[in-house]
Amino acid sequence: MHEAILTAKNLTKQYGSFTALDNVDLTVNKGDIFGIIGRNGAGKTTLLKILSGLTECTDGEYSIFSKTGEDLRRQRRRIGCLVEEPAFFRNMTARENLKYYCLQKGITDLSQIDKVLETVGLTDTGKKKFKDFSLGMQQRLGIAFALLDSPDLVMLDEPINGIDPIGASDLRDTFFRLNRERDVTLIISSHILSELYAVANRFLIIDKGKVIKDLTKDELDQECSMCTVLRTDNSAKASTVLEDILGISDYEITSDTEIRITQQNIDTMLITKTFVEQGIGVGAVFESGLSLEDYFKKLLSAV
Amino acid sequence: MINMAKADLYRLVRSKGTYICLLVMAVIYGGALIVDSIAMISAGYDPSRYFNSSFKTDLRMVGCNANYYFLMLFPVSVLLLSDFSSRTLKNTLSSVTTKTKYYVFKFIAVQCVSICYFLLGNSGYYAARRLMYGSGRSTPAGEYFAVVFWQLPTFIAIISVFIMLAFIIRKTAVFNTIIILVPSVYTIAVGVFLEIKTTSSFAEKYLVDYDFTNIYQYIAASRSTGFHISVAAASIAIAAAAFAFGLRHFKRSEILK
Repeated sequence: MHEAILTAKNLTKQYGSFTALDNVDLTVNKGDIFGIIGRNGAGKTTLLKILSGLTECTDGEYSIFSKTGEDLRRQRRRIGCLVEEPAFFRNMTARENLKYYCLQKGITDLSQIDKVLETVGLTDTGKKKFKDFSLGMQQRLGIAFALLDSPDLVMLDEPINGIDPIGASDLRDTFFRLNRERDVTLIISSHILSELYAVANRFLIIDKGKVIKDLTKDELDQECSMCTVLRTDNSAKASTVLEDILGISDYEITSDTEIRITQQNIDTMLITKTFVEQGIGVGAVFESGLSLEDYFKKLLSAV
Repeated sequence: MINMAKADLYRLVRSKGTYICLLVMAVIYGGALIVDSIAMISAGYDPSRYFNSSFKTDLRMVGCNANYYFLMLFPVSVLLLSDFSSRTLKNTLSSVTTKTKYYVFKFIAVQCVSICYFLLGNSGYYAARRLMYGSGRSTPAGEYFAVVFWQLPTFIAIISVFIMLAFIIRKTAVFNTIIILVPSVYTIAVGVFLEIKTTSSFAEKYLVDYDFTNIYQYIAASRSTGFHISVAAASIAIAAAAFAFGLRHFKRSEILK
């Protein structure tokens, strides 16, 4: 049984007549790397702003570590956040900025600064001011800030933005390491599914403020995997023929008239012939499979 | 709050604004001391010619404390507006404190730093002048600091309005422009009101008397205690109203627009 670290019910946020978030439900379990994916303006940042306490929801409720309201406020130190673009004092170095936040958070062990800078690969910035940082360096410092207080839950809003491919790969390794070695739960938003796919084990797809899909990585794999689709007039009878006569067991009955076979290297000619021999009407046999991008597009076009 | 104070102190000592403010204060007071010296030299070091009234020049300088109106743009910018312009406010509010506590802390912090500048400038000037010219040519310390004390409520009220405006405006350039323009606009408005028959008596009685530059001068010139008390009461009311309005506005506003 997974321990829910964050639950939200009917989260709604309105700015005047514009609904940025519309009845969003979600549950994040301890140890998850939870990806929030959506187009620009889908409501990802609004959701993170609410969860990080930067704005109030118009309706709905949420709890983190099973705490709400004032109790949750006292737990905020267990949460590291990077919402929207990283923001730091422009005339201060990475180390100075982090020292400022150490003082503000009451972190007495200043060696923590070196640890988080090392974690994000920013140990060699020296006296370089934040204003001279590249976008990638700014993102890294933002992630370092989120990790500063050894949080149990980290929320990162588009953390890979502006980071080069090698840097992005390093960061993904960092996320995995934090998740596995320190049992940190991560919530990461992005508008690039493939980027999140490489790191997350659960996905929340949102568009126009609404949840479109909430699925695990296995479920996503299944949705996107190559399969053979059989359209017949009787799925139940067809499944018996598949197992008993053809010896195919990796399939899923998706409706009364459709079966999806995930087993590879099957003989579709033989299947069709056998079905006909057994008196099963065959409407169509075709291969199906979606790339992550196509799957995402398909989901959004269905809204 | 102590942690936030430590953090802001850390940033304050690293800010150029802090040292620019101290430098400008040094230039103003240094200039006053130099002018004082020139006046004394030209008067042939004759105190009877130099001090031609009971109103000594150190008190005249205290009467010019309206200068702090512009100087105090620095602490407001360094401690408060930089959080908005750099958008670091979200870092603090997402992990350290609430909007209310943040507002209360910043209100107290900006007031404390501003008062420190005010007291440092006035006491530094007094000490330097006394060292240069001796106690005979200076106002007694008790009298001098009583004047500074009575000016403090007005000073605090002005800083309170600054803080309120900073929380509403949030943009350094716009804030500075408004603060710099207000005295000029006020002077022009008073001039117009003085010229209009129906408003001239009101303008003379309230708008001139209670113009903050005049308030500093009147207090330094030892106007009646009643005036001091009415100014202090009005200042406390303005400070309280500015605090309440700024807090209400900040609590209702979105952090990231």
